[in-house]
Amino acid sequence: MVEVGLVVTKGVTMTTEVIRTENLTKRYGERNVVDSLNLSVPQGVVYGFMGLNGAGKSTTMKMLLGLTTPTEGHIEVFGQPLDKNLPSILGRTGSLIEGPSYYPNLTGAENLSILQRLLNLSAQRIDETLEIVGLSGARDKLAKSYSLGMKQRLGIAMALLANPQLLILDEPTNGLDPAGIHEIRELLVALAHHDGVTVLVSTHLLAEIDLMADQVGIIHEGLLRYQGPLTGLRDNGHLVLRTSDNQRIRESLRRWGCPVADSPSTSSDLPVEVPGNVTDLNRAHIVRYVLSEGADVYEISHHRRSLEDVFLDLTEGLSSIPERAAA
Amino acid sequence: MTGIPLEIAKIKRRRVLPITLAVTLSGVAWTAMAIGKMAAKGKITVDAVTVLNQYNSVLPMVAPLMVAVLIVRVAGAEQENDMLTRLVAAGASRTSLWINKLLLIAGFLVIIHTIGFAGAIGFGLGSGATFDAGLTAQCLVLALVTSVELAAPLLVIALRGNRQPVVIAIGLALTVAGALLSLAPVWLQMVLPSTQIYAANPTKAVFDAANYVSGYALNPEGAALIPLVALIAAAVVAASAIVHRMWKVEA
Repeated sequence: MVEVGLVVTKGVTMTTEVIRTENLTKRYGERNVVDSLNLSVPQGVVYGFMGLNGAGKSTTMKMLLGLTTPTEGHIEVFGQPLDKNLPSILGRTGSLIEGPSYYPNLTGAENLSILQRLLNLSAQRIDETLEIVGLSGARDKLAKSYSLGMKQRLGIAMALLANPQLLILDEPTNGLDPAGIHEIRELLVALAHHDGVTVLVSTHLLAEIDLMADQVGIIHEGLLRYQGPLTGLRDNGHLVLRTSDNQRIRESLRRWGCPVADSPSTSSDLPVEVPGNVTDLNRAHIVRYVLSEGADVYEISHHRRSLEDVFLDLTEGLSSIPERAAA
Repeated sequence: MTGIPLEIAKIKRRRVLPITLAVTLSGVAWTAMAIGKMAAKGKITVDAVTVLNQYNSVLPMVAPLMVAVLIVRVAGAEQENDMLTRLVAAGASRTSLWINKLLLIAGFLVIIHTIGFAGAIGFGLGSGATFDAGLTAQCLVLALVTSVELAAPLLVIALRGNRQPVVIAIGLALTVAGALLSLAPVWLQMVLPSTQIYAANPTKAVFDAANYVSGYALNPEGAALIPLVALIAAAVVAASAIVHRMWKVEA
């Protein structure tokens, strides 16, 4: 049995990619809001979809839910073309797009009841879901009297109501207090890792993604700038060595076989840089070698760009993608 | 028909009936005053034809606003916080939502127009008028058909984004049109759903030599237009459904 995008294991069909897009493009007038996006979201992971405000995250998510028609490109969800299987795909997908939607004139429980009846679910799911998001105590309060955080929880409850296999959440922790953010983060990670739910979550908060995402996609001005594991974004850093004769030591280390970074000038003021995560043992070797070359060592340190620096570089186009990330 | 109870559940606490009835009852009050004035003067016989003619004269001005308010109260529940997008993202059919809402609105229209006609006739009976079931049924059907004809496209507009002010503005514009077109030619009155009530009115005023109203009589020419109005209404409802289906909201 051969199926595109599927792996068959002992008679069980497992989708390796829950979401796959090919050259997905959305154009408004002359502007490509989403540009040739090739997204690949594996099953059972928390996929952090990151980008600055207006980068194209929400538009992409709307296209994945059939709420906006792509100008070009192709979307597959659960291994099926979205445009031909929208009702069945949406039946397996929970979503929260651009803030929580709710009927202000209804209570929290009544709001969930509308969806429960629409989706033909058991009424028991209402209480279960309210319990999960911590709204049991406010089930009979009107939604319009909820705080922003409670409305956000209600939106998440609506997304979770049908026990979806895929969750598409646009900034789900907006308006939540730190405890609420922690709860929702733990919930999403548990859903992905214990229940096999695939979670596509968008945010512009790097710390949040750092704590929960297995895979990330970084979008900027509609273009996917990076996709892969979060570790691929981490900078290994570089060893910085300041000696009494930096230029001579730079040449000498290179002849010795040490991968020294090129210096932008021949000035002896610029310190020697050795890229990568240099081990303690290798640092000792290097220092011994420099001393044996008759130079004094004034400073030795390890510099690493933070995840935030890498993200800002990717989204502001100041540098190229780190080598490992690009690979 | 399982969608109708769901639509009813969505509008809980939105006071749809009282708010919409308040608009309708202003028409009933106007009719009551007119009948009362005629009865007091004693120059014109207040009978079933007179009462229904008075109410039919005010309906083209009251009905558009009443329908607009009804739509805003029913569709607004969905639009204020973009629940329509939420429901569509959960797999609901936009067409089914529109049909269910229109059916619910039609149900409300039956209740509201029945109460409105009952009120007007009640005042008529109080002033010594008789009751003509056949004529009342004709007028009620005409009011219902034209109201549904107006509601269908307004519902399309209301469900396309949060367009409640636009719906109310159209209702007000049609109210003004109702006031302006009362004496317009029949073909012009047939253009707007609300003024079709003038064109297909089964009653008419009778003028004396000095061009003053001397009484009211049956209007078979107007009544003959009711099937045509129903046909136009059916076409408008079908066209609205098609436009709603094609006019997909880009969330």
